[in-house]
Amino acid sequence: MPDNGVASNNSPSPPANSFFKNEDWWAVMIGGALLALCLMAVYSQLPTPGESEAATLTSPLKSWLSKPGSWKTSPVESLFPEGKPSRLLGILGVFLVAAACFGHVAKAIEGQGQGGKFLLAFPIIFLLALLAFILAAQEVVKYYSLSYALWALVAGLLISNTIGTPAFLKPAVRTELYIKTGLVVLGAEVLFSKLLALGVPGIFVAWVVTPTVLISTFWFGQKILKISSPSLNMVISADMSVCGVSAAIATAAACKAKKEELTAAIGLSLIFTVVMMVVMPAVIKATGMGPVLGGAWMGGTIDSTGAVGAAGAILGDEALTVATTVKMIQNVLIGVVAFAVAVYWVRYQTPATDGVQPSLSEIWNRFPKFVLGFLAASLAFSAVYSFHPAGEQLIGAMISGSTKTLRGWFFCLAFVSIGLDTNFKELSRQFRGGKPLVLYAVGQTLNLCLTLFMAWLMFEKVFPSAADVLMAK
Amino acid sequence: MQTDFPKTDAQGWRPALTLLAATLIIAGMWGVVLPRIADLPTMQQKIQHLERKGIDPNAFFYSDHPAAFNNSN
Repeated sequence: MPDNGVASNNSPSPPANSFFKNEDWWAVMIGGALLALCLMAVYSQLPTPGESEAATLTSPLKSWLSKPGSWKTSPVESLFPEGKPSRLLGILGVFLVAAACFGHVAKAIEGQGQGGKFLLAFPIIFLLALLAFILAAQEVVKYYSLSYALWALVAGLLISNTIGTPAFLKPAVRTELYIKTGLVVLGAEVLFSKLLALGVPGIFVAWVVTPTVLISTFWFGQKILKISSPSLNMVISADMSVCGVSAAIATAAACKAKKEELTAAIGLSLIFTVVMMVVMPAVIKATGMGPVLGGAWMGGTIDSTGAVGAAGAILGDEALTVATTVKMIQNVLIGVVAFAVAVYWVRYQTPATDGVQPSLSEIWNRFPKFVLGFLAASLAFSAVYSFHPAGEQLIGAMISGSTKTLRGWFFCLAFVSIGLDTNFKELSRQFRGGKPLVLYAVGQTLNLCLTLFMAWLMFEKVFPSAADVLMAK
Repeated sequence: MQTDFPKTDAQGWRPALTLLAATLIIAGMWGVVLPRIADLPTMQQKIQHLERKGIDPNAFFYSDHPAAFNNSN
Protein backbone atom coordinates (compact mmCIF):
# COMPACT_ATOMS: atom_id res chain seq x y z
CA MET A 1 0.00 0.00 0.00
CA PRO A 2 1.55 3.31 -0.98
CA ASP A 3 1.73 5.42 2.09
CA ASN A 4 1.26 8.92 0.84
CA GLY A 5 -1.30 10.07 3.36
CA VAL A 6 -0.94 11.72 6.72
CA ALA A 7 -2.99 8.82 8.01
CA SER A 8 -3.20 6.54 5.05
CA ASN A 9 -5.74 4.01 6.09
CA ASN A 10 -7.51 3.62 2.79
CA SER A 11 -7.06 -0.09 2.82
CA PRO A 12 -10.02 -2.37 3.33
CA SER A 13 -10.74 -3.47 6.86
CA PRO A 14 -7.74 -4.92 8.64
CA PRO A 15 -8.04 -8.46 10.00
CA ALA A 16 -9.20 -8.67 13.60
CA ASN A 17 -5.90 -10.14 14.82
CA SER A 18 -3.91 -7.17 13.52
CA PHE A 19 -4.12 -5.17 16.76
CA PHE A 20 -0.36 -5.27 17.35
CA LYS A 21 0.34 -4.47 13.69
CA ASN A 22 -1.91 -1.42 13.69
CA GLU A 23 -0.10 1.91 13.99
CA ASP A 24 -3.24 3.63 15.30
CA TRP A 25 -3.49 1.35 18.30
CA TRP A 26 0.23 1.71 18.94
CA ALA A 27 -0.19 5.48 18.93
CA VAL A 28 -2.99 5.13 21.48
CA MET A 29 -0.92 2.78 23.66
CA ILE A 30 2.25 4.87 23.57
CA GLY A 31 0.42 8.16 24.00
CA GLY A 32 -1.67 6.72 26.82
CA ALA A 33 1.35 5.22 28.58
CA LEU A 34 3.30 8.48 28.35
CA LEU A 35 0.35 10.46 29.71
CA ALA A 36 -0.10 8.01 32.58
CA LEU A 37 3.61 8.18 33.46
CA CYS A 38 3.66 11.97 33.32
CA LEU A 39 0.56 12.20 35.52
CA MET A 40 1.96 9.72 38.05
CA ALA A 41 5.22 11.65 38.19
CA VAL A 42 3.37 14.84 39.17
CA TYR A 43 0.97 12.97 41.44
CA SER A 44 3.95 11.65 43.42
CA GLN A 45 4.84 15.27 44.21
CA LEU A 46 1.45 16.17 45.66
CA PRO A 47 1.97 17.41 49.20
CA THR A 48 0.40 15.36 51.95
CA PRO A 49 -2.07 17.19 54.26
CA GLY A 50 -0.16 19.63 56.40
CA GLU A 51 2.59 20.21 53.87
CA SER A 52 2.93 23.43 51.88
CA GLU A 53 0.34 24.49 49.27
CA ALA A 54 -0.05 22.55 46.03
CA ALA A 55 0.28 25.79 44.04
CA THR A 56 4.03 25.24 43.71
CA LEU A 57 3.57 21.79 42.21
CA THR A 58 6.01 21.00 39.38
CA SER A 59 6.71 17.90 37.36
CA PRO A 60 9.86 16.00 38.43
CA LEU A 61 10.29 15.20 34.73
CA LYS A 62 10.65 18.86 33.79
CA SER A 63 14.45 18.92 33.63
CA TRP A 64 14.50 15.52 31.87
CA LEU A 65 12.23 16.58 29.01
CA SER A 66 13.09 19.79 27.25
CA LYS A 67 13.38 21.64 23.95
CA PRO A 68 15.57 24.55 22.84
CA GLY A 69 14.73 27.89 24.46
CA SER A 70 14.51 31.30 22.81
CA TRP A 71 17.71 33.09 21.78
CA LYS A 72 18.70 36.48 20.50
CA THR A 73 22.22 36.61 19.09
CA SER A 74 23.69 33.10 19.22
CA PRO A 75 21.92 29.75 18.81
CA VAL A 76 24.14 28.41 21.58
CA GLU A 77 21.95 30.40 24.03
CA SER A 78 19.11 28.16 22.95
CA LEU A 79 20.79 25.09 24.44
CA PHE A 80 22.85 26.75 27.17
CA PRO A 81 20.78 29.68 28.48
CA GLU A 82 22.67 32.22 30.54
CA GLY A 83 22.21 31.70 34.27
CA LYS A 84 20.01 28.63 33.77
CA PRO A 85 20.76 24.92 33.56
CA SER A 86 21.68 23.48 30.17
CA ARG A 87 18.80 22.12 28.13
CA LEU A 88 20.91 19.33 26.63
CA LEU A 89 19.97 16.78 29.28
CA GLY A 90 16.26 17.36 28.67
CA ILE A 91 16.71 17.13 24.90
CA LEU A 92 18.63 13.89 25.31
CA GLY A 93 15.81 12.65 27.55
CA VAL A 94 13.22 13.31 24.83
CA PHE A 95 15.47 11.61 22.29
CA LEU A 96 15.74 8.46 24.40
CA VAL A 97 11.99 8.34 25.12
CA ALA A 98 11.09 8.87 21.44
CA ALA A 99 13.70 6.43 20.13
CA ALA A 100 12.59 3.73 22.59
CA CYS A 101 8.86 4.17 21.90
CA PHE A 102 8.94 4.55 18.13
CA GLY A 103 11.76 2.02 17.69
CA HIS A 104 9.65 -0.51 19.56
CA VAL A 105 6.67 0.18 17.27
CA ALA A 106 8.83 -0.20 14.15
CA LYS A 107 10.04 -3.54 15.48
CA ALA A 108 6.56 -4.70 16.49
CA ILE A 109 4.95 -3.78 13.17
CA GLU A 110 7.70 -4.60 10.71
CA GLY A 111 10.01 -7.02 12.48
CA GLN A 112 13.32 -7.02 14.34
CA GLY A 113 15.36 -5.75 11.37
CA GLN A 114 13.24 -2.64 10.94
CA GLY A 115 13.67 -1.73 14.61
CA GLY A 116 17.44 -1.63 14.13
CA LYS A 117 17.19 0.34 10.89
CA PHE A 118 14.85 2.79 12.60
CA LEU A 119 17.34 3.38 15.41
CA LEU A 120 20.13 4.04 12.90
CA ALA A 121 18.07 6.67 11.05
CA PHE A 122 16.21 8.27 13.95
CA PRO A 123 19.12 10.38 15.33
CA ILE A 124 19.31 12.29 12.02
CA ILE A 125 15.55 12.97 11.96
CA PHE A 126 15.80 14.09 15.58
CA LEU A 127 18.72 16.42 14.79
CA LEU A 128 16.71 18.00 11.96
CA ALA A 129 13.82 18.52 14.39
CA LEU A 130 16.28 20.09 16.86
CA LEU A 131 17.49 22.43 14.11
CA ALA A 132 13.86 23.42 13.36
CA PHE A 133 13.24 24.22 17.04
CA ILE A 134 16.42 26.32 17.19
CA LEU A 135 15.51 28.27 14.03
CA ALA A 136 12.00 28.94 15.38
CA ALA A 137 13.32 30.02 18.78
CA GLN A 138 15.20 33.08 17.46
CA GLU A 139 13.46 36.06 19.07
CA VAL A 140 12.47 37.86 15.84
CA VAL A 141 11.31 34.67 14.11
CA LYS A 142 9.37 33.77 17.25
CA TYR A 143 7.77 37.22 17.46
CA TYR A 144 6.25 36.76 14.00
CA SER A 145 4.82 33.35 14.92
CA LEU A 146 6.94 31.47 12.35
CA SER A 147 6.85 28.26 14.33
CA TYR A 148 8.89 25.06 14.24
CA ALA A 149 6.36 23.45 11.86
CA LEU A 150 7.53 25.73 9.06
CA TRP A 151 11.26 25.20 9.69
CA ALA A 152 10.88 21.44 10.09
CA LEU A 153 9.12 21.32 6.72
CA VAL A 154 11.80 23.55 5.16
CA ALA A 155 14.64 21.39 6.54
CA GLY A 156 13.07 18.21 5.17
CA LEU A 157 12.07 19.75 1.83
CA LEU A 158 15.55 21.15 1.25
CA ILE A 159 17.12 17.73 1.63
CA SER A 160 14.52 15.74 -0.28
CA ASN A 161 14.39 18.14 -3.20
CA THR A 162 18.13 18.65 -3.61
CA ILE A 163 20.27 15.63 -2.77
CA GLY A 164 17.24 13.40 -2.15
CA THR A 165 16.33 11.65 1.07
CA PRO A 166 19.07 9.08 1.75
CA ALA A 167 17.76 5.51 1.74
CA PHE A 168 19.07 4.82 5.24
CA LEU A 169 16.87 7.62 6.67
CA LYS A 170 13.62 6.23 5.29
CA PRO A 171 12.85 3.74 8.11
CA ALA A 172 12.56 6.68 10.54
CA VAL A 173 10.42 8.84 8.24
CA ARG A 174 7.16 7.90 9.97
CA THR A 175 4.86 10.88 9.67
CA GLU A 176 1.68 9.05 10.67
CA LEU A 177 3.08 7.46 13.79
CA TYR A 178 4.54 10.73 15.08
CA ILE A 179 1.36 12.71 14.33
CA LYS A 180 -1.04 10.16 15.81
CA THR A 181 1.02 9.74 18.99
CA GLY A 182 1.37 13.52 19.29
CA LEU A 183 -2.38 13.92 18.95
CA VAL A 184 -3.13 11.36 21.67
CA VAL A 185 -0.72 13.23 23.99
CA LEU A 186 -2.30 16.55 22.95
CA GLY A 187 -5.66 15.12 24.04
CA ALA A 188 -4.69 15.76 27.68
CA GLU A 189 -4.54 19.50 26.90
CA VAL A 190 -8.06 19.60 25.43
CA LEU A 191 -9.78 20.38 28.73
CA PHE A 192 -13.53 20.80 28.43
CA SER A 193 -13.84 22.98 31.52
CA LYS A 194 -11.95 25.68 29.58
CA LEU A 195 -15.09 26.00 27.45
CA LEU A 196 -16.82 27.99 30.14
CA ALA A 197 -13.97 30.46 30.68
CA LEU A 198 -15.94 33.24 28.97
CA GLY A 199 -19.43 31.89 29.62
CA VAL A 200 -22.13 31.84 26.93
CA PRO A 201 -20.68 34.60 24.71
CA GLY A 202 -17.37 32.78 24.39
CA ILE A 203 -19.16 29.60 23.36
CA PHE A 204 -21.20 31.48 20.77
CA VAL A 205 -18.16 33.17 19.25
CA ALA A 206 -15.95 30.08 19.25
CA TRP A 207 -18.35 27.15 19.00
CA VAL A 208 -21.18 28.49 16.84
CA VAL A 209 -19.30 30.59 14.32
CA THR A 210 -16.39 28.16 13.93
CA PRO A 211 -18.37 25.06 12.83
CA THR A 212 -20.59 27.27 10.66
CA VAL A 213 -17.53 28.65 8.85
CA LEU A 214 -15.92 25.20 8.64
CA ILE A 215 -18.96 23.59 7.03
CA SER A 216 -19.70 26.57 4.75
CA THR A 217 -16.10 26.72 3.52
CA PHE A 218 -15.98 22.98 2.86
CA TRP A 219 -19.30 23.22 0.98
CA PHE A 220 -18.06 26.22 -1.00
CA GLY A 221 -14.87 24.37 -1.98
CA GLN A 222 -16.77 21.28 -3.10
CA LYS A 223 -19.82 22.80 -4.77
CA ILE A 224 -18.65 26.15 -6.10
CA LEU A 225 -14.88 25.86 -6.56
CA LYS A 226 -15.16 22.12 -7.25
CA ILE A 227 -11.81 21.35 -5.61
CA SER A 228 -10.92 17.85 -6.75
CA SER A 229 -9.53 16.70 -3.41
CA PRO A 230 -12.12 16.77 -0.58
CA SER A 231 -9.36 16.15 1.97
CA LEU A 232 -7.39 19.23 0.84
CA ASN A 233 -10.64 21.20 1.02
CA MET A 234 -11.33 19.93 4.54
CA VAL A 235 -7.81 20.55 5.90
CA ILE A 236 -7.76 24.15 4.60
CA SER A 237 -11.28 24.76 5.96
CA ALA A 238 -10.38 23.41 9.43
CA ASP A 239 -7.00 25.11 9.53
CA MET A 240 -8.59 28.46 8.66
CA SER A 241 -11.70 28.23 10.83
CA VAL A 242 -10.48 26.41 13.96
CA CYS A 243 -6.95 27.00 15.16
CA GLY A 244 -4.30 26.81 12.48
CA VAL A 245 -1.60 24.14 12.44
CA SER A 246 -3.00 22.08 15.34
CA ALA A 247 -6.41 21.79 13.67
CA ALA A 248 -4.78 21.09 10.31
CA ILE A 249 -2.82 18.18 11.78
CA ALA A 250 -5.85 16.73 13.58
CA THR A 251 -8.20 16.93 10.57
CA ALA A 252 -5.54 15.82 8.08
CA ALA A 253 -5.02 12.68 10.14
CA ALA A 254 -8.77 12.18 10.58
CA CYS A 255 -9.58 12.51 6.86
CA LYS A 256 -6.42 10.79 5.60
CA ALA A 257 -5.19 13.80 3.67
CA LYS A 258 -2.01 13.58 1.63
CA LYS A 259 1.17 15.01 3.11
CA GLU A 260 1.34 17.63 0.36
CA GLU A 261 -2.18 18.74 1.24
CA LEU A 262 -1.28 19.27 4.87
CA THR A 263 1.85 21.17 3.84
CA ALA A 264 -0.16 23.38 1.46
CA ALA A 265 -2.76 24.15 4.14
CA ILE A 266 -0.11 25.02 6.71
CA GLY A 267 1.75 27.22 4.21
CA LEU A 268 -1.42 29.21 3.47
CA SER A 269 -2.23 29.52 7.15
CA LEU A 270 1.25 30.76 8.10
CA ILE A 271 1.21 33.45 5.41
CA PHE A 272 -2.25 34.74 6.35
CA THR A 273 -1.44 34.54 10.06
CA VAL A 274 1.53 36.89 9.75
CA VAL A 275 -0.55 39.34 7.68
CA MET A 276 -3.56 39.22 10.03
CA MET A 277 -1.55 39.59 13.24
CA VAL A 278 -0.13 42.85 11.91
CA VAL A 279 -3.18 44.21 10.07
CA MET A 280 -6.00 43.36 12.51
CA PRO A 281 -4.72 45.32 15.54
CA ALA A 282 -4.15 48.30 13.21
CA VAL A 283 -7.70 48.07 11.82
CA ILE A 284 -9.17 47.71 15.32
CA LYS A 285 -7.25 50.78 16.51
CA ALA A 286 -8.13 52.79 13.41
CA THR A 287 -11.85 52.06 13.65
CA GLY A 288 -11.98 52.78 17.38
CA MET A 289 -13.33 49.32 18.13
CA GLY A 290 -13.30 48.49 21.84
CA PRO A 291 -10.68 46.10 23.25
CA VAL A 292 -13.24 43.45 24.17
CA LEU A 293 -14.87 43.36 20.74
CA GLY A 294 -11.49 43.63 19.03
CA GLY A 295 -9.99 40.89 21.20
CA ALA A 296 -12.91 38.53 20.57
CA TRP A 297 -12.72 39.24 16.84
CA MET A 298 -9.00 38.45 16.68
CA GLY A 299 -9.32 35.39 18.94
CA GLY A 300 -11.98 33.93 16.69
CA THR A 301 -10.30 34.64 13.36
CA ILE A 302 -6.47 34.62 13.51
CA ASP A 303 -5.47 30.99 12.86
CA SER A 304 -2.43 30.56 15.06
CA THR A 305 -2.85 30.45 18.83
CA GLY A 306 0.50 32.16 19.32
CA ALA A 307 -0.29 34.96 16.88
CA VAL A 308 -3.57 35.66 18.68
CA GLY A 309 -1.58 36.36 21.84
CA ALA A 310 0.92 38.54 20.01
CA ALA A 311 -1.83 40.55 18.26
CA GLY A 312 -3.91 40.83 21.43
CA ALA A 313 -0.95 42.19 23.39
CA ILE A 314 -0.67 45.10 20.94
CA LEU A 315 -4.13 46.29 22.02
CA GLY A 316 -3.64 46.00 25.78
CA ASP A 317 -4.49 43.69 28.66
CA GLU A 318 -8.22 43.49 28.14
CA ALA A 319 -7.97 42.65 24.42
CA LEU A 320 -5.19 40.16 25.17
CA THR A 321 -7.22 38.33 27.82
CA VAL A 322 -10.38 38.16 25.71
CA ALA A 323 -8.48 37.17 22.53
CA THR A 324 -6.51 34.35 24.16
CA THR A 325 -9.57 33.09 26.04
CA VAL A 326 -11.68 32.93 22.85
CA LYS A 327 -8.81 31.12 21.14
CA MET A 328 -8.49 28.70 24.04
CA ILE A 329 -12.20 27.85 23.79
CA GLN A 330 -11.73 27.36 20.05
CA ASN A 331 -8.70 25.12 20.71
CA VAL A 332 -10.92 22.78 22.71
CA LEU A 333 -13.06 22.36 19.59
CA ILE A 334 -10.37 20.39 17.76
CA GLY A 335 -11.24 17.13 19.55
CA VAL A 336 -14.85 17.38 18.42
CA VAL A 337 -13.85 18.47 14.91
CA ALA A 338 -11.38 15.60 14.52
CA PHE A 339 -13.97 13.08 15.68
CA ALA A 340 -16.73 14.52 13.45
CA VAL A 341 -14.45 14.65 10.41
CA ALA A 342 -13.29 11.05 10.98
CA VAL A 343 -16.90 9.83 11.23
CA TYR A 344 -17.98 11.86 8.18
CA TRP A 345 -15.04 10.60 6.17
CA VAL A 346 -15.47 6.89 6.82
CA ARG A 347 -19.23 7.18 6.29
CA TYR A 348 -19.55 9.53 3.33
CA GLN A 349 -16.17 10.12 1.70
CA THR A 350 -14.75 6.61 1.52
CA PRO A 351 -15.86 5.11 -1.81
CA ALA A 352 -18.61 2.50 -1.47
CA THR A 353 -17.70 -1.01 -2.61
CA ASP A 354 -19.88 -2.13 -5.55
CA GLY A 355 -22.25 0.73 -4.86
CA VAL A 356 -23.08 -0.64 -1.40
CA GLN A 357 -22.68 1.74 1.53
CA PRO A 358 -20.33 0.44 4.26
CA SER A 359 -21.88 -1.46 7.16
CA LEU A 360 -21.36 -0.38 10.77
CA SER A 361 -18.59 -2.93 11.27
CA GLU A 362 -16.90 -1.71 8.11
CA ILE A 363 -17.15 1.87 9.35
CA TRP A 364 -15.56 0.77 12.63
CA ASN A 365 -12.75 -1.00 10.80
CA ARG A 366 -12.04 2.04 8.66
CA PHE A 367 -12.29 4.49 11.54
CA PRO A 368 -8.92 6.02 12.54
CA LYS A 369 -8.62 4.56 16.03
CA PHE A 370 -6.12 7.10 17.30
CA VAL A 371 -8.99 9.63 17.29
CA LEU A 372 -10.58 7.54 20.05
CA GLY A 373 -7.35 7.77 22.04
CA PHE A 374 -7.29 11.53 21.50
CA LEU A 375 -10.89 11.88 22.75
CA ALA A 376 -10.40 9.44 25.64
CA ALA A 377 -7.35 11.41 26.83
CA SER A 378 -9.32 14.63 26.58
CA LEU A 379 -12.27 13.28 28.58
CA ALA A 380 -10.09 11.57 31.21
CA PHE A 381 -7.86 14.57 31.85
CA SER A 382 -10.82 16.96 31.75
CA ALA A 383 -12.38 14.84 34.51
CA VAL A 384 -9.19 14.90 36.63
CA TYR A 385 -8.85 18.66 36.05
CA SER A 386 -12.43 19.33 37.14
CA PHE A 387 -13.08 16.78 39.89
CA HIS A 388 -9.75 16.13 41.67
CA PRO A 389 -9.25 18.57 44.56
CA ALA A 390 -5.82 19.53 43.17
CA GLY A 391 -6.82 18.88 39.54
CA GLU A 392 -5.83 22.29 38.17
CA GLN A 393 -2.35 22.14 39.70
CA LEU A 394 -1.86 18.49 38.79
CA ILE A 395 -2.80 18.84 35.14
CA GLY A 396 -1.13 22.25 34.81
CA ALA A 397 2.16 20.89 36.16
CA MET A 398 1.92 17.76 34.05
CA ILE A 399 1.29 19.67 30.82
CA SER A 400 3.78 22.48 31.35
CA GLY A 401 6.49 20.19 32.75
CA SER A 402 6.27 17.22 30.42
CA THR A 403 3.47 16.45 27.95
CA LYS A 404 3.51 19.67 25.93
CA THR A 405 7.24 19.21 25.39
CA LEU A 406 6.73 15.63 24.20
CA ARG A 407 3.91 16.40 21.78
CA GLY A 408 5.86 19.39 20.44
CA TRP A 409 8.76 17.08 19.58
CA PHE A 410 6.46 14.44 18.09
CA PHE A 411 4.82 17.00 15.79
CA CYS A 412 8.21 18.44 14.86
CA LEU A 413 9.45 14.95 13.93
CA ALA A 414 6.29 14.56 11.83
CA PHE A 415 6.93 17.80 9.96
CA VAL A 416 10.56 16.84 9.26
CA SER A 417 9.23 13.53 7.92
CA ILE A 418 6.67 15.28 5.72
CA GLY A 419 9.40 17.51 4.30
CA LEU A 420 11.64 14.51 3.61
CA ASP A 421 8.77 12.79 1.84
CA THR A 422 7.41 15.69 -0.23
CA ASN A 423 8.17 16.70 -3.76
CA PHE A 424 8.08 20.40 -4.67
CA LYS A 425 6.39 19.52 -7.98
CA GLU A 426 3.66 17.61 -6.16
CA LEU A 427 3.34 20.45 -3.66
CA SER A 428 3.01 23.10 -6.36
CA ARG A 429 0.31 20.96 -8.00
CA GLN A 430 -1.86 21.60 -4.93
CA PHE A 431 -1.92 25.30 -5.73
CA ARG A 432 -2.58 24.91 -9.46
CA GLY A 433 -5.45 27.12 -10.61
CA GLY A 434 -5.29 29.07 -7.36
CA LYS A 435 -8.34 27.32 -5.92
CA PRO A 436 -6.87 26.67 -2.44
CA LEU A 437 -5.97 30.36 -2.19
CA VAL A 438 -9.49 31.42 -3.24
CA LEU A 439 -10.96 28.91 -0.78
CA TYR A 440 -8.87 30.29 2.06
CA ALA A 441 -9.61 33.93 1.16
CA VAL A 442 -13.38 33.40 0.83
CA GLY A 443 -13.56 31.27 3.99
CA GLN A 444 -11.54 33.77 5.99
CA THR A 445 -13.71 36.65 4.75
CA LEU A 446 -16.81 34.81 5.93
CA ASN A 447 -15.04 34.04 9.21
CA LEU A 448 -14.13 37.72 9.72
CA CYS A 449 -17.70 38.89 9.03
CA LEU A 450 -19.53 36.25 11.09
CA THR A 451 -17.12 36.45 14.03
CA LEU A 452 -17.33 40.24 14.14
CA PHE A 453 -21.13 40.10 14.07
CA MET A 454 -21.33 37.42 16.76
CA ALA A 455 -18.73 39.14 18.97
CA TRP A 456 -20.61 42.46 18.66
CA LEU A 457 -23.94 40.77 19.43
CA MET A 458 -22.62 38.81 22.40
CA PHE A 459 -20.12 41.20 24.00
CA GLU A 460 -21.79 44.54 23.25
CA LYS A 461 -25.53 43.81 23.16
CA VAL A 462 -26.50 40.61 24.98
CA PHE A 463 -23.74 40.16 27.62
CA PRO A 464 -21.94 43.52 27.87
CA SER A 465 -20.37 42.63 31.23
CA ALA A 466 -19.03 39.18 30.23
CA ALA A 467 -15.46 40.40 29.80
CA ASP A 468 -15.54 42.27 33.13
CA VAL A 469 -16.14 38.97 34.93
CA LEU A 470 -13.17 37.47 33.11
CA MET A 471 -10.90 40.43 33.89
CA ALA A 472 -11.87 40.33 37.55
CA LYS A 473 -10.61 36.72 37.90
CA MET B 1 6.30 0.74 4.76
CA GLN B 2 6.46 1.83 1.15
CA THR B 3 6.76 5.54 0.56
CA ASP B 4 6.80 7.92 -2.37
CA PHE B 5 10.00 9.78 -1.60
CA PRO B 6 10.77 12.47 -4.17
CA LYS B 7 13.25 11.57 -6.84
CA THR B 8 15.71 14.27 -7.82
CA ASP B 9 16.42 14.59 -11.53
CA ALA B 10 19.53 16.74 -11.18
CA GLN B 11 22.87 14.96 -11.50
CA GLY B 12 26.45 15.71 -10.44
CA TRP B 13 27.31 18.43 -7.96
CA ARG B 14 24.27 20.63 -8.57
CA PRO B 15 22.00 19.13 -5.88
CA ALA B 16 24.74 19.29 -3.25
CA LEU B 17 25.64 22.86 -4.24
CA THR B 18 21.98 23.91 -4.04
CA LEU B 19 21.70 22.43 -0.55
CA LEU B 20 24.97 24.10 0.47
CA ALA B 21 23.77 27.48 -0.86
CA ALA B 22 20.47 27.17 1.03
CA THR B 23 22.34 26.23 4.21
CA LEU B 24 24.63 29.26 3.84
CA ILE B 25 21.65 31.58 3.33
CA ILE B 26 19.99 30.19 6.47
CA ALA B 27 23.24 30.52 8.43
CA GLY B 28 23.63 34.13 7.25
CA MET B 29 20.05 35.06 8.09
CA TRP B 30 20.04 33.46 11.54
CA GLY B 31 23.68 34.24 12.34
CA VAL B 32 23.85 37.87 11.22
CA VAL B 33 20.62 39.50 10.00
CA LEU B 34 18.09 38.33 12.58
CA PRO B 35 20.33 39.00 15.62
CA ARG B 36 20.78 42.60 14.36
CA ILE B 37 17.04 43.04 13.96
CA ALA B 38 16.53 41.57 17.44
CA ASP B 39 18.89 44.21 18.82
CA LEU B 40 16.75 47.10 17.55
CA PRO B 41 15.20 48.92 20.52
CA THR B 42 11.66 48.81 19.06
CA MET B 43 11.93 45.08 18.46
CA GLN B 44 13.27 44.47 21.96
CA GLN B 45 10.41 46.48 23.40
CA LYS B 46 7.85 44.34 21.57
CA ILE B 47 9.55 41.06 22.49
CA GLN B 48 9.88 41.99 26.17
CA HIS B 49 6.25 43.12 26.29
CA LEU B 50 5.11 39.64 25.21
CA GLU B 51 7.46 37.95 27.66
CA ARG B 52 6.05 40.04 30.51
CA LYS B 53 2.51 39.04 29.52
CA GLY B 54 3.40 35.32 29.41
CA ILE B 55 2.67 35.05 25.69
CA ASP B 56 4.55 32.70 23.38
CA PRO B 57 3.97 33.92 19.81
CA ASN B 58 5.00 30.47 18.58
CA ALA B 59 2.28 28.79 20.64
CA PHE B 60 0.74 25.84 18.91
CA PHE B 61 -2.01 25.42 21.50
CA TYR B 62 -3.26 27.62 24.33
CA SER B 63 -1.27 25.56 26.83
CA ASP B 64 1.97 26.69 25.15
CA HIS B 65 1.53 30.21 26.49
CA PRO B 66 3.60 30.41 29.69
CA ALA B 67 0.68 32.26 31.30
CA ALA B 68 -1.74 29.39 30.63
CA PHE B 69 -0.90 27.62 33.89
CA ASN B 70 0.38 29.00 37.14
CA ASN B 71 3.37 26.70 37.22
CA SER B 72 4.45 26.99 33.63
CA ASN B 73 7.87 26.62 32.04
